Amino acid sequence: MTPANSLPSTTRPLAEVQPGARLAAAVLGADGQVLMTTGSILTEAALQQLARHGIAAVAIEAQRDEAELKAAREALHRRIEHLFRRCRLESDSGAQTLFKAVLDYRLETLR
Amino acid sequence: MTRPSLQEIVTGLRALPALPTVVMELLQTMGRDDVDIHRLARGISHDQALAARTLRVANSPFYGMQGRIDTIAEAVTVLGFVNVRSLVTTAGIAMAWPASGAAGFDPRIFWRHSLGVASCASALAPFAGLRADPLFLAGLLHDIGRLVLVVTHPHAYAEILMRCAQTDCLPLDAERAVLGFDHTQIGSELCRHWRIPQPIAAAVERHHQVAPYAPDLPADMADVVHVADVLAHALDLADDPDALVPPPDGAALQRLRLDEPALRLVLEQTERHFNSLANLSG
Repeated sequence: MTPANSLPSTTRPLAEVQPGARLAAAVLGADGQVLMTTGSILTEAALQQLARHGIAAVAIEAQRDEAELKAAREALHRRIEHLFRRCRLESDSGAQTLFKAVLDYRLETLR
Repeated sequence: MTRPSLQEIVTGLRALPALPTVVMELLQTMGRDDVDIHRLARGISHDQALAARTLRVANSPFYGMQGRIDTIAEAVTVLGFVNVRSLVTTAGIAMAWPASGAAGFDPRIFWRHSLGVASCASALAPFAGLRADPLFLAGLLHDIGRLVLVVTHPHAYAEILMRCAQTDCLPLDAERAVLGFDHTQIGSELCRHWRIPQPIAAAVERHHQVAPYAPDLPADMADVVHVADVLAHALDLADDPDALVPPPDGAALQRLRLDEPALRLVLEQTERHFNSLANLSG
């Protein structure tokens, strides 16, 4: 969604993928149906399910190093602040709650 | 430049392209379950373009279907009539508009935001103790008055957009400054013209003007659409570089009582639902 989220991808054998990796491309089943969409997080359960479907390899997003992650977090923070530019975050507790919820949610899915 | 009056715009609604008959019928039954599902499903199947778009979304991972859904009848069986009705009416409404536009207006951003608010409003529904499907439609239509303006009075709308670009103001304020009224009034008139149930039209009309604070007042549909509008902008779903979160109304938030875990769930659910709908409008 945000530019900060686009990363180079690599294709890895399913057995080597660590839980928590994020899909860089949708995974399709044998008859072309979408099993998982781009951007999904590969949990342990999801990896097992893909293995049962006979998926051998998936495209996952490259992990960012610490400096890139920090830059991405800052970019995300700036973007959400920009989106809220007409809200008075210092005095409006409702706007503040929503701002924080969205920021936390976005930071959590950033890797 | 001459600016249209609200009355002129309302009169002009009759000149807009009509919705397919089956979409009109489905809209009138919105929020009800006592309908002739089989007859309506046949009606949907007869409209090839509408059925194709609906099936594209029905097969998205959001609905958790491993196999393929090939027909509307199957979609009704697997997803339920209420879900199919939402998909078909959304596709029908999105397909109804001529490809004309105002300078600076991007229909893709418009529909992405509308689908984002629809997704968020239905994710918020359980927290307000309300049905999700009428809220989905109210969210989808919350800004539809803007599209009416773009299609019927592109020059006036271009002026509104210009004002937004120059002063970075809320589009709502620019509409009021240029026209003396805003998209909520036009949108609710279009809902009436389409014979959409009144509670949905009222939510469209009042999403920028929710009820004032009063003790023990439950959340209503306008509250939900208002907060969904705020959250959809905050989630940046529309891909709009100039997106602007409108200040949330404290009374609406108070009535919805969303704590941190609830908000987290709503945001996640909104994004998942929204992603599944990407094929519906384009």
